[in-house]
Amino acid sequence: MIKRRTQKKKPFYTKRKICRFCSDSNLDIAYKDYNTLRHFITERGKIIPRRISGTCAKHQRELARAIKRARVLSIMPFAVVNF
Amino acid sequence: MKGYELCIIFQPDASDAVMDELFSVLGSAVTKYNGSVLKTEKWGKRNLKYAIKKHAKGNFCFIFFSGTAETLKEIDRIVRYNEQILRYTIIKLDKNLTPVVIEGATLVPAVAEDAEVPASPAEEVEAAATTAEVQ
Repeated sequence: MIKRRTQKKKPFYTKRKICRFCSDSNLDIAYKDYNTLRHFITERGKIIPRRISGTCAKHQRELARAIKRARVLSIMPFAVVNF
Repeated sequence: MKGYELCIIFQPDASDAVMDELFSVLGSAVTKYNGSVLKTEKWGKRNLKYAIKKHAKGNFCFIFFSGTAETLKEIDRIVRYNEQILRYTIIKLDKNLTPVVIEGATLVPAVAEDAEVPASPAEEVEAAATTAEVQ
């Protein structure tokens, strides 16, 4: 007979991430502002998904737009090859 | 009439005279179509994150202006074939993007939002320099 598992799987909790731009209204998303945008790309230069960074959908869209604009103007890298 | 922002990256060795000359040409192009130049910004020489036409540095300039589709065409024509320019883009202004607010047909620089502008270029460079020292 197969042993029945009585123990239920423990629920897995993580701390809910908060959108940085929602919590701080002074923080603006501007494509010229490298020092803010730089927190939202990986070392390779990829845009960090909001699943990881915790930004809300609205601000993630703005962020992506700003980062892409900054890339065109060489303010941000498209790809970091040697790091 | 809408607000736009023109970003230009000049060659690192472009002289101030060349830049000012282009600015005046652009300014007259803007006023030709009843627009106005709202603001100009110069960042000076900055490192590029990737090389453009084999240049590692560029001279960043920004011009805020109001205009119509014709203005943009004219500006495009002026800027496109200038060899001193490595890259340029025109961005439509939005309340969130810039310190400019649209009031009726005319564009007036907002006072309240001025403070939010990422510190003036010179200050920013200084700040960058100091942080670099700290690191």
